[in-house]
Amino acid sequence: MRLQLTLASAALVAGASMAHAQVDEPPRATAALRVYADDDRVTVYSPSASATTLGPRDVALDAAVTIDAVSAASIDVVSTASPYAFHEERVEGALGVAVPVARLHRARARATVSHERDYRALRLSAGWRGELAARNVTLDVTFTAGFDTVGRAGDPSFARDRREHRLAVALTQITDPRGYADVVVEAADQRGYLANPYRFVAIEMPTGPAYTLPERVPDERTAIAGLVRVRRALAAADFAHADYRLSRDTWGITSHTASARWTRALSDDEILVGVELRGYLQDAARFHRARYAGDAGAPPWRTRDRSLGAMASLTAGAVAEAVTPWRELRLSVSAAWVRFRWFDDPDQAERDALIASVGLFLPL
Amino acid sequence: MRRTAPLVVVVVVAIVAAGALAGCVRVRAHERQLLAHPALAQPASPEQHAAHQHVYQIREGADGATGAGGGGCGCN
Repeated sequence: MRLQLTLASAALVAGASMAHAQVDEPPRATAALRVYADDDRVTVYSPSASATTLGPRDVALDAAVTIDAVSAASIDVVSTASPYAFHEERVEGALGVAVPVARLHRARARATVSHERDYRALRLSAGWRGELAARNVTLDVTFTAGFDTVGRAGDPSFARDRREHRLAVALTQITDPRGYADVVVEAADQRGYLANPYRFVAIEMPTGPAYTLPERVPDERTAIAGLVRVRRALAAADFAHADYRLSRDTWGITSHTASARWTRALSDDEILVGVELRGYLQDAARFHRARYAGDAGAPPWRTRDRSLGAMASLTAGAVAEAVTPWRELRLSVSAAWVRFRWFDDPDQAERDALIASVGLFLPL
Repeated sequence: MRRTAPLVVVVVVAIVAAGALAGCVRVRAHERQLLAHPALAQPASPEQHAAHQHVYQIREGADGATGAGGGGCGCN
């Protein structure tokens, strides 16, 4: 729970973005394990399983379950959110359905619930995908509504609501026989309790000792993000993706993200190996400060959330996928190194992390 | 919302431009062999994509617009 406002909602957002991919894919069963570990002694193991099946009239059903097992003793957590190291688990389950509504058009719906000791979340999404212009254009629209309850361990009386609405529109155009261009736009509106109940902020006084107050941030946040992407076959066995994303929100954060990926196919496409590079840069929320001074009274908004400060990250990763002879079982293995850098954090400037995943995909 | 207004304008212009250009290119089914290659799917590696997005959502202050576009090759 100490990572609650990031972990649960982040997982659900990531899950929501994957939802249409699952219900639109051929029937299959998957099992995967994701691992996150960083040099600040935070480790997250995330085993997951899912299945997609095709019923009568091409109605697709999918179900998925994910567990996040978090172990943490970081300076970040210890100094600003929790007085001791902890181990916690989050369980997430999802059900989805996709229904053909016309030739080349599918509607879908999905419900995702997440539960941990002091955070509950529900995401309901509905979407439509259609292929247009003689199947040269794909248009996808997804609306997601989120209903969360934020709690606090050891304080059963603490319960705060948080609401979220997201609208994503994605358009894909075949540009020529070798590639695609994508334009994705997503708007998000969050309302309610958006702070972390475990986080306290030191208020420094010109004379006398500092004192601490609970973190407090505005209870509304609206963001919009746009992404352009190209995907191209460079040669018969070489493929590239490149994209750029611009995001801005009403808290004053503007971010830029650029990534590129190169993939080579081997052994008649039975093996794929790829490398990926990603860079991210953001400025700070307008109320974020490295230090808060209390000489003019307590600041109305105060946070120790480093993801609201000026920061950057760099990711370098590799992935390998292979189709095995047994029932076309596909194995996917990936590993990536990420360096996060905070420009105005007085306690920690950098963090290195490893993200690894192993997945098995069995066609049904 | 005022701070996002310039981006909203850019996004609206991009959508209108994309919509106007959509369908201008027509690639026939028999020309789509490369487009159907799994390396051109989005995301190319769903498991890796999900693992990374999970972390980025936690550690970074912005999210959204990372989902897939369409991308079926439309071969059938």
